Amino acid sequence: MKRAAKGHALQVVTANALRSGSVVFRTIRGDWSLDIADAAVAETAEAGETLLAAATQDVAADVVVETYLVDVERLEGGPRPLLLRERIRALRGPTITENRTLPPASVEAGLLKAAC
Amino acid sequence: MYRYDEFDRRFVTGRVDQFRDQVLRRLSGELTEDQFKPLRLMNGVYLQLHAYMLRIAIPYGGLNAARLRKLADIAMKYDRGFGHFTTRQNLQFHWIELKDVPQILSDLAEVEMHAIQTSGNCIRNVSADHFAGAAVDEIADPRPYAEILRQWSSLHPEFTYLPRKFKLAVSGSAHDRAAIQVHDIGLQIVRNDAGETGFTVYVGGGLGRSPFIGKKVRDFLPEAELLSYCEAILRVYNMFGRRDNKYKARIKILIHEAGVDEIRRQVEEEYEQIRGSRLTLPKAELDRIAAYFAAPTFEALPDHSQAHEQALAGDRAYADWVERNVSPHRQPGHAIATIALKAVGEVPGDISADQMRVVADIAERYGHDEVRVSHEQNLVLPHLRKDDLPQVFAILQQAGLASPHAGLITDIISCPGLDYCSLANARSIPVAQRITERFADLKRQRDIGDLKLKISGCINACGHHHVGHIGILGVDRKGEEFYQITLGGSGDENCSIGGIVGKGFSSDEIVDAVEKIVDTYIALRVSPSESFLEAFRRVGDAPFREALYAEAA
Ligand code: HEM
Ligand code: SF4
Repeated sequence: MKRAAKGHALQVVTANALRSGSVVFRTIRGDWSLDIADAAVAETAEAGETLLAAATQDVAADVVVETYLVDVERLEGGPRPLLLRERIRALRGPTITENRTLPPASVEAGLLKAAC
Repeated sequence: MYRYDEFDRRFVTGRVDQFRDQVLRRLSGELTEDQFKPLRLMNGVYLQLHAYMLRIAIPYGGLNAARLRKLADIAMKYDRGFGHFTTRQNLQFHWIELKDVPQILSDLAEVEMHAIQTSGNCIRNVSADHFAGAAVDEIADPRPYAEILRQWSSLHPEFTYLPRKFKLAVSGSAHDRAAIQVHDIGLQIVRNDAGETGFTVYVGGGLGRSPFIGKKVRDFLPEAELLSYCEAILRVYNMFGRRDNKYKARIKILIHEAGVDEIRRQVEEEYEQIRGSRLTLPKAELDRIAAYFAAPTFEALPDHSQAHEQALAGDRAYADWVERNVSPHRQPGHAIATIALKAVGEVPGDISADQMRVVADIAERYGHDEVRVSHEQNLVLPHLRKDDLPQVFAILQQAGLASPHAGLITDIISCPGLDYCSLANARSIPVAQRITERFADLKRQRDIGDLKLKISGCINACGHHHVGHIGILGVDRKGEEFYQITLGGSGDENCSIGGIVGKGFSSDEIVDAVEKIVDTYIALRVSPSESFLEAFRRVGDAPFREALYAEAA
C-alpha cells in the first residue's frame, strides 16, 4: 500500500467493508465509520501500530479487508489525509460529477475543494 | 450474433452457482480473504478505490438490445445508474456490492454474458474491429475467428495459469481499427495469391511499463491453422515466460529478451508437433461459426438516399455529425454510425442506463439489433439505412448522444485514473474533461482534424497513451499529480510508440501544454490536409519541444 513519508506522526486506520466494499475508517469506539471525521487519530508511530493491530482483527472477523495506516494532518473539520489518493478515498466518491445526473461526492462537506 | 449452445449455457450457469456459493462462504467467514481474492478475480470482481468493481466481458464488442437493456437494469439496480466502457471492449461497473455480484452474474447469464477471464493470468476477452461485418475495406469478418478463439481459450486447462495476462485481437480489414499490434497476439486477416483466407500473425505487442509493437512471426497462416498456431505460441510462452518478476512476465518481454527469431523458431517447432491434430479447424466448423455472424438481410437500396441528402442540406448539426460520425457501409444505401461517449465535460466511456436503453431501442428499430463497443470507448451502430439516419440522429441528439466529434481531439480515450482506480498515480478523467472544454469549439476541432489523444493515470497504460498521437501519462511527483506527454504514437496498421517530449507538467499546466502542441502543429502543417500525425512524422518532436520548453530554457 502507498504511504506517505515514514515517521509521520498522525495516522488513521482505513479499510474497505467486506460486504459493500465501501471505504471505512477505524473509530475511537473500535468500530468503523464511512466518515473520516469519526476516525481515531494515532499520535505516535507506536500508537498507530497498536490501532492497526486492533483494527486488523476485524479482517479475521470478516468485517473489513485491507486495513492500513493513512498519514493525516488535523484540520478543523477533522483529519485530512496527506496523499491525494487517500483524500479521494475519504471523499466516498470521485472528484468529478458521475453520470452527470449525480452530484459529486460530498460537495456539501466541502471536501471536494480540499481534495483538489 | 453468436448464441450459446448447451455446453456454453451449462458452463456459465455452473460458474454463477459456484461463485454464489463462494460469496456466501466468504460472507459467513468460512473462506478467508486470502482464499477468496483469487476466486473473485476469476469472476471479474476487483476491489477499487471506493468499492468493488465488476468487469464484464463483451466478446469482440458485440452487444444487442437485450444485452444493453440488461446492463441498464443492472446499472439502475446495483450500481449508480451508469457503466464505463473500456479500451478492451469490456464494461465496468464501479459501485458494486460484493453481496450482489452472484445475482448480477445470474442476470447477465440470461443474456449470454459473463465476467469470466476478465482478470487474472489467463487469456482475456478477445477483441476485434468494431466495424466488423460492415466495413467497406473488410477482407473477412473477424468475429467468427474471435469467437473460435474465445471458445478455445475459455477454461483452457493448460492456459489458466499463464505467467501473466494474455490478450488477443483480430482485424479483418487492412486498416487496423482494433490496435492488434499492441496485443500479445495480433491477427490480421489477409488473402494470399491463391485467394485463400489466412492471418498475418504479430506476437509480443503490449503497452504498460515497457511498450512494444508486436513482431511479425508469420506472413500467412492458413485459417484452418489458427488454433494450432496460437496454441503453439501459448505453449512456448507458458514454458519460457518469466514467472519471477511480474513486470517482466508478459510475452513481449520474452520476445525482447530471447529475440523474435528464437521465439519464432520455437513456435514453429511446437507447431509442427501440434499440426494436423484435433486443433485443425475443419471447414464445416468454420462455416458453422461463421453462420452466427452472417450479415443481416439488408434491403436492396440505391446508395443515394433522399431523406439523408435533404437533411444534409437543411440541417447543419446533422451534416456536422455525419461528417465525423458516419462511415461508409459495404452495402449500398447503408451506413455505420459512431456514438461518441465523450461530449464536452463528459467522462470518456461512461454511459447512463437511460442512454443504454435509447441505444437499445435504436438498434432494435433501425439497426438489425446490433451495437458494438469500440476500443476507443465509443459505441457503434453498424448497420443503419441511410434513409433512417436523420431519425436516428434526432433520437441520439435528444439523449445527449449525438456529439459530432468522432476521431477529433476531444474524442479522448481515458482510463478511470485516480478517481476510481487503486493503482493510479494521478487523475485522468478531469484532465480529459478540461481538454474537451478547452477545445469545445467544433469549428476549431475540425480545423485541427484527426487527432487521437489518450490518457492513462499510471504506467499500466489502460488508456493506451503510448499509441496516442498525443499521449498523456499521469505520474506522482512528490505527492503532486504530474503529467508526462508523449508524441507520435499510433495504434493502427502504422503502429508506433510515442516518445516522451520532455519533463512533465502540473495539473494546472497540462491543458495549456496540449494547446501549445496543437497550435505548433497548426503553424507548421503544410496544408490543412496534413494530419497531426503526418506532420509529426515529417518534422519530429523538435518544434514541439521548443514550443513547450522555450521559455523555461
Ligand atoms: C480500474 C481497474 C483496473 C485495473 C486494476 C487495471 C490494471 C491493469 C494492469 C495492472 C495492467 C498492466 C498489466 C501488465 O502490463 O502486465 C493493465 C493493462 C491494461 N489495462 Fe487495465 N486496469 C483497470 C482498468 C482498465 C480500464 C478501465 C481499461 C480501459 C479503459 C483497461 C485497459 C487495459 C489495457 C488495454 C491494458 C493493456 C496494456 C498492455 O498491453 O500491457 N484497464 N491494467
Ligand atoms: S492506467 Fe493505471 S490508473 Fe489507469 S486504469 Fe489502468 S491501472 Fe488504473
